[in-house]
Amino acid sequence: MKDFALMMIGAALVNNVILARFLGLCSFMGVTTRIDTAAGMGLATTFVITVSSMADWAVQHYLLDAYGLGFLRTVTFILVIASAVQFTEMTIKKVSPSLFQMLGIYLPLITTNCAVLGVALLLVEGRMSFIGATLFAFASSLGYSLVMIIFAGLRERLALAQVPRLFAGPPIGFIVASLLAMAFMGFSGISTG
Amino acid sequence: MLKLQRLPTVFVVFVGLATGTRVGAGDTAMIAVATKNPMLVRAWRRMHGFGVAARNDWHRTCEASVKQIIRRIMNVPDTLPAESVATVTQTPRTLMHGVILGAFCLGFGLVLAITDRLTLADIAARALEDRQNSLSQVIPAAIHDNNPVTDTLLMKDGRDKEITVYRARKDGRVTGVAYEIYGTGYAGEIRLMLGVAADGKLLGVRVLAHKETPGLGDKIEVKKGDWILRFSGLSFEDPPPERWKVKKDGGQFDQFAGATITPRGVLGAIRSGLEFFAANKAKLTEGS
Amino acid sequence: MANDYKTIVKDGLWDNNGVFSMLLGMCPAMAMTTSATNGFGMGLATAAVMAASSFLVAVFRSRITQEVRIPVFILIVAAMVTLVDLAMNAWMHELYKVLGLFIPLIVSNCLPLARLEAFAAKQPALPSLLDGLFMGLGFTIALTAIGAVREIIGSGTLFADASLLFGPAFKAMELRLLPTDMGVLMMILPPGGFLVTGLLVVVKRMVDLRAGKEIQMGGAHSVA
Repeated sequence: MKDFALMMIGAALVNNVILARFLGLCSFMGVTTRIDTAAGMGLATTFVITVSSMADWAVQHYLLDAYGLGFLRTVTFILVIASAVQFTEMTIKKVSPSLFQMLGIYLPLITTNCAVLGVALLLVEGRMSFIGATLFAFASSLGYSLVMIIFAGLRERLALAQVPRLFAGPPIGFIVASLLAMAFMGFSGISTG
Repeated sequence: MLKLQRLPTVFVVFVGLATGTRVGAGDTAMIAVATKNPMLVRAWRRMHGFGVAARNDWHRTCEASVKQIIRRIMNVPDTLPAESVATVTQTPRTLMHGVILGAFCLGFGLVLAITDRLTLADIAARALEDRQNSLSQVIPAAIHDNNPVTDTLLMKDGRDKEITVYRARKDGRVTGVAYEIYGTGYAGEIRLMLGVAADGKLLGVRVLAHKETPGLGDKIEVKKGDWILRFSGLSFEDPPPERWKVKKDGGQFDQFAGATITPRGVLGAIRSGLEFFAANKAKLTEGS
Repeated sequence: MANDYKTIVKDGLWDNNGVFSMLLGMCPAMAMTTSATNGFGMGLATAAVMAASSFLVAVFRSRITQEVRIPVFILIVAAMVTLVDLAMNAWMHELYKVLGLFIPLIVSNCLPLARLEAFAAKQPALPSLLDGLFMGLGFTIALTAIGAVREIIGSGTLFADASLLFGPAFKAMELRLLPTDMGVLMMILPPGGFLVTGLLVVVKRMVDLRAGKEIQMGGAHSVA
């Protein structure tokens, strides 16, 4: 139990998907201009990462490993992710139309979010158990959402600041992200137990 | 054999058909979000409420904005022929799209299967070389005349994790074993290879992979410092188990400047590795 | 026609540089640039995938209908990535071990997909091949530049380990510019990646401004 808790803290904060592993940067820079969009994107991604990681784990163990098809991993994973996005879309639409109104439009963006594929590949290479893999995926995506929301908050403030013209837009965003990454480095060592 | 070869393509075709046409609409929604174009967003919402007519309407709206956006950001001359706009206004023919996608899956699945065959031997050879490299650092050449990479034993360690034990033999007798051990460092797991002689003395420890801070924690690597070399010749009796710690924790090993947690993790790993050896000595050195 | 090709080359290498102008493919641009060598290797792998997939998409473009084009594009990129992955594992093993996870992740790099959608889906095979190739080379230049800045400031070397990763012929490229202990550690840690990328975007804007060009204020993201 303690192992799982430490692993989850490690995945969410210490080895944060965005700030330490550099995954999902396109959405990190792309949809963080407002807090509510960032939160929507974060929530939708959390859904998809968890679902597709579970599916990818099963595909890796029962299909690719079982039949020696390791070379199809990249292709099948990306197709599984595309299907998971589709599945999530249909499920949310059926279960909660109001949630769908809120999140649905972010879902298609997620197929090409490298955080999703990255987390799936990480947990397959880490040879985790199914429960471990699910928790790892969930914690990683929570870490992703957290950073998305924090960064969107910073950028909302930044929009009001007077930034030199050469730095306006993405460059100042990168510099702020750099400071945020420094702050997150403070979490290192937290999960050593 | 035939059945096995057919499987990848069958699988890929299946997934291709299943995901089929509906993913295609995705990229247009992406543009809708990114442009924050209220008309597009409304059209997208409408598409999920009505039938074919609404969908065609959506496609037409998107097509126009895609062209506009591409012109704006990519500086690419707009050469999209008029007829492709016409095709999207037709009712989507799901089956045909499935067939197209399936055909592509089939073709590329085949190409990949062939490439896999071509590279299989080389990749296996590289993996063997890697293992040989890490083993040769912890098992001195003088104590064995066999190839430890191929003389393996599968066992469960204290945490019920499966580990592969490589055995070094001379004249058929086991002279030493090597296996992977794990420790928790500052920024995640540290993987090490541990070599132990048949009498319980350490032959050597080497780091295989770690995520420690460059410049601080990475002094555990042999190319960045000699810290890791100090363990050779020691054993679980010398020093006693309670002294297998960093000085800060009451043990006898130096931590290094700026990092305590990393050496602590390495020592923890070695300690549990030696415990594993002590607990399974009979089985590990069987036939020595 | 020659003029067109010139534009393709110039666009790919500088004007529409994937990293510095369009801000696409940021993940490897920061994760794989702790040294110039790593950035160079990652860039070349991406360039190979982009050239091959652009060419294939252009060849098959009449067979791909509008509705299925995105899945087909992804499939083609994924297949090319797997080819590169297998080939590197077999024949460039040291480099493969360094790049690791980020080779399969070329699939979800937005840059190849963006070029397929914007260029290869509508152009003949040869220009598409060139576009993919030069966009990829532009990406390589960007990654090598970020890697070089981070490596020089961070560890005081340039192209360290190049001979190990690419072969003995590259030994001459390995330089030590600063003494060992002068490195600013922060640069090879994650924050340095963000910082250097941000500053290099500014540098590109300054150069463009000097040349009298209009500077692109946003990347592809803020417009599209």
